[in-house]
Amino acid sequence: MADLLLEIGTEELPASVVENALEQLQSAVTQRLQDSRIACGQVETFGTPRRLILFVHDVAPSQTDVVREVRGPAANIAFDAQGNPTPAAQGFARKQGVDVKDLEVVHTPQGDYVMAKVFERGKPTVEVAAGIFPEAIRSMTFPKMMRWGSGNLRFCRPIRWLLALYDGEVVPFELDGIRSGNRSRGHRFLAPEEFEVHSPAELLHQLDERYVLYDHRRRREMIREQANRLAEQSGGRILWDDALVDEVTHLVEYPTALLGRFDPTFLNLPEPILITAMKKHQRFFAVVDAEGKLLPYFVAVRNGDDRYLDIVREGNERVLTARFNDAHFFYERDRQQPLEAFVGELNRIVFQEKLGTMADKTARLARMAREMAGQAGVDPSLAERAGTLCKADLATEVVMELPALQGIMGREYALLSGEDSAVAQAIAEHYMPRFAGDSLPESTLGRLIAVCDRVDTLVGYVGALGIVPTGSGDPFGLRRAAQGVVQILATVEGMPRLWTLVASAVSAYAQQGIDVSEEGLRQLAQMFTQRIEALLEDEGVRYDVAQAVLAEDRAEPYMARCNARLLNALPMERLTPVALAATRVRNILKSGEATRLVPAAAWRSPSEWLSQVQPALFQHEEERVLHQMTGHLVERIAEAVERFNSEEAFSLLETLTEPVNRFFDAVLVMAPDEAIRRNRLLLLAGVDALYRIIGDFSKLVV
Amino acid sequence: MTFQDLLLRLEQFWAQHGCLILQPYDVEVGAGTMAPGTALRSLGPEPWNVAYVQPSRRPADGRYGRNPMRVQHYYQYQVILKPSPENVVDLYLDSLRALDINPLEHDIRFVEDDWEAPTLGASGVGWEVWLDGTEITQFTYFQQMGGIECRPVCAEITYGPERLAMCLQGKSSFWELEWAHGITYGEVDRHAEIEHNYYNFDHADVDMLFRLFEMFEAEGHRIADLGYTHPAFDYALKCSHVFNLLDARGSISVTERASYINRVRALARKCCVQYLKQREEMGFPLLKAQEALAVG
Repeated sequence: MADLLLEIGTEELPASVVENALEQLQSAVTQRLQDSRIACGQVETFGTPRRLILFVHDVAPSQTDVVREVRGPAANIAFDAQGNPTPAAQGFARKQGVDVKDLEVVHTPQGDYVMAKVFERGKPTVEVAAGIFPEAIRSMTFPKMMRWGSGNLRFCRPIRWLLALYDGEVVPFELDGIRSGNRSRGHRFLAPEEFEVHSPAELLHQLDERYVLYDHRRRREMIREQANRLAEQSGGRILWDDALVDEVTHLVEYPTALLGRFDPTFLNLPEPILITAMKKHQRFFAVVDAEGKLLPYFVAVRNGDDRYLDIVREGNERVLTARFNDAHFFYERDRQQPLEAFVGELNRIVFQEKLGTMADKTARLARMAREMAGQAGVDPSLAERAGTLCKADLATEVVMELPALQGIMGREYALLSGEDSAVAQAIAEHYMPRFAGDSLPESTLGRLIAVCDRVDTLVGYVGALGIVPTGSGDPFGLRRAAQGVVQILATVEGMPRLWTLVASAVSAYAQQGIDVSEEGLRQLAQMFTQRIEALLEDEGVRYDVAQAVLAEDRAEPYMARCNARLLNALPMERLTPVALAATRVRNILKSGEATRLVPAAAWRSPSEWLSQVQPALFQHEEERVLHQMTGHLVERIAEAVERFNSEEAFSLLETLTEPVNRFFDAVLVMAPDEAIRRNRLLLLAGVDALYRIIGDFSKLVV
Repeated sequence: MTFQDLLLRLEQFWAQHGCLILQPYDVEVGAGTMAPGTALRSLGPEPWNVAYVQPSRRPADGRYGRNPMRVQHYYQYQVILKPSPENVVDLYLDSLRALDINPLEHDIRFVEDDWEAPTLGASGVGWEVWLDGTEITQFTYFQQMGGIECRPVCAEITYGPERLAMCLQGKSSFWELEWAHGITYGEVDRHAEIEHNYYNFDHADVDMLFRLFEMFEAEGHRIADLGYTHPAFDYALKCSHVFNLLDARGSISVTERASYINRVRALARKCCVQYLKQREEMGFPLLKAQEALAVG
């Protein structure tokens, strides 16, 4: 068993693609090895900005041999009456390279056929790998692909060399004019010359010698260690940022961290500005003291060794000073007017071409926030103020320079402008949750603005424009927005209802002459339902329970989650009788006759159905009892639901089980008289609607 | 190294490596990319290896001469290598060595930065190159120009000579740079910079500019339709500059913005398509000059 090695030498890859590229390479190659019947052992991958390395241990020297069964002519054609092979059989045997006497007969549903067992010797691994490698490389995809020179190949950055070895021997192939070989290169500056290798171990050893820390995991650790040590020297600690560590790891092949400093008078600027400028502009790590206060130091990571570090440090300090001077200038400019003054400038920033500018969005948000404030239990004028100001910082110079500071600068400027602290907090918080699993806004006002903002975006994009994220693509962050809405509304009690929010957004758009279509809202409802479903699944809710509580078109996240948690936790002996009774009702309403007499296309409330029932047409006591019970429960269940008390609502529904069953035992629903028939179906439609306040029990597996 | 020495050394380096040294283009452009020596020549199969200084204007970037690095007029040193040679990054690093920048004494990094020029319908993939934390070069493999796929692909190397000079001279402002011994960049350019800023931001005649845009656009299409691509392209550049002036004056609302950009792009694209067709009809004459135009 020998080792297989592939190194793709590239020009500098974007930091964000390296690890994903390694995963793709690994699965593309191992999948193909497996398909080609080549056994292999452990697989390792290593990546730097200039190379993707795949190291497959213990690879069998060749494909395993196989015996293929090849079907030939029908038996009655292959053999004559005496059982002697005909020319057809002889021809087939010759073609398959087997002796005619080794042909067998197989019985199939289509009749008997001749079959040859063809032995195929496995090809040597070197030969097979020469086909697999170029295929695997071509199969790799990147967010942005390019061509270079006169070639046709598309990759993430130009490929400049290919090192491919099996058992010390070159795996020979050509990829768009690039020939594989046994040569690699060291660090771009510290060891630029090419060198030959004969084994994976030798490559890794040589790279170590040639200033390439090929293992990204180790590079990441080294950056952390070096930075920690330097921070300690300055009397502080690093303010770690995992995304930044990952990026820096993939910007260097040989990391050397260095400690720089800046003029402490810059510490008068808000810390987020300094930290973000260091991170976004320079990829520097910030240093803080024991209390977490920023110190006038930074740690930069150089792609090289520790010689001439002073020159590098000086250059980095100079450029940081220029950045901070800029930021200082912008900050002072922004502060010359109150935050409110920037609202007027939002008409210079497009929200979406057809949905208007950020000023238009702001007007809608202010209106929505005011309308919804009562339901969230916040002061309407504060809500309107937060809605008005939440996007204002987008027009400030600091945020235009450093967009990552949106919200954070809004809070800063709001406080400086003497705005209510709750408004300032809501401005900062309304971008949360930024990703799945991020924390929710802490304040109620922040939550309200967060959902208003996202619902406005969704109603606009999906409802008005019909733009729906498809597949894995979500270029406008719509799925993420829907998820944010659901995360907040489903888990926080006392928020406005989702579909009230949507209605409010729809009317805010209407005010601006933008119409929202029914079809758009239907798609939006579907998106929300999918997000709620995902949330319930994450919480361990059974699939059938999720289906039951989300059966209605326009689910309410909070109610759906309460109901789901209840149904998921109920013992079967309580769940089953209710589910069976509800299903009996459901099934009869699905019959053709029922849908003709009681068209249930539009969902109606229980009382709307019940109001059409004529007690004078009742013929059985059981009908009267069920009608009475149902009418009696409508209010109480609605009231329990209003308080999100699923347990109470379910207990009330349980009292229906017996009357429903007795009804079915005693009453023939499909009575010969149409008026009576219809009356009974109307009653059942009311009962059904009552059950469906909690969910469609017929979807439960009981 | 003075600012002018830096430019001279780059000229010398690229001339020695087989580039034609062009002279700056004489219509206002926002970047060296827009000059026809890049925008048009990057199209089609003909080899094209050139280098030139290009004064560039971005009216909205001005800060009345008060910011150390933000100006409405500055210089680019533009290199185009078509097709992009295999050793293009090494060549670039050699050009830095020619400026006495030894990579071992500095930190040089290639940071992902893809590029797009909406008014040209152009896009590319590449890096910004950092020298000790300062961006000194934009390095781009063109993928599209005028909406047309670039085959073969050219490499564009755009140096920021002022930023390079800041690193080399240890200065923290454009204005303090030594242009030649005893005379600063500020002394050469700042007077004009400040006046242009007042013009761009405060005094440019908006109505006249809107009229000019219409006139330039109409003339561009008229001339292009007569089959004269290069004069038509000049008008596309003029439209682009007038648009930038209007933008700096704050006279173009966001809703109109996209439509103005589309209009410039439509004219530029027309020129690109027509240019490529003309070259094809001429039998791509520079294909014969492969050797003279080889870079190395």
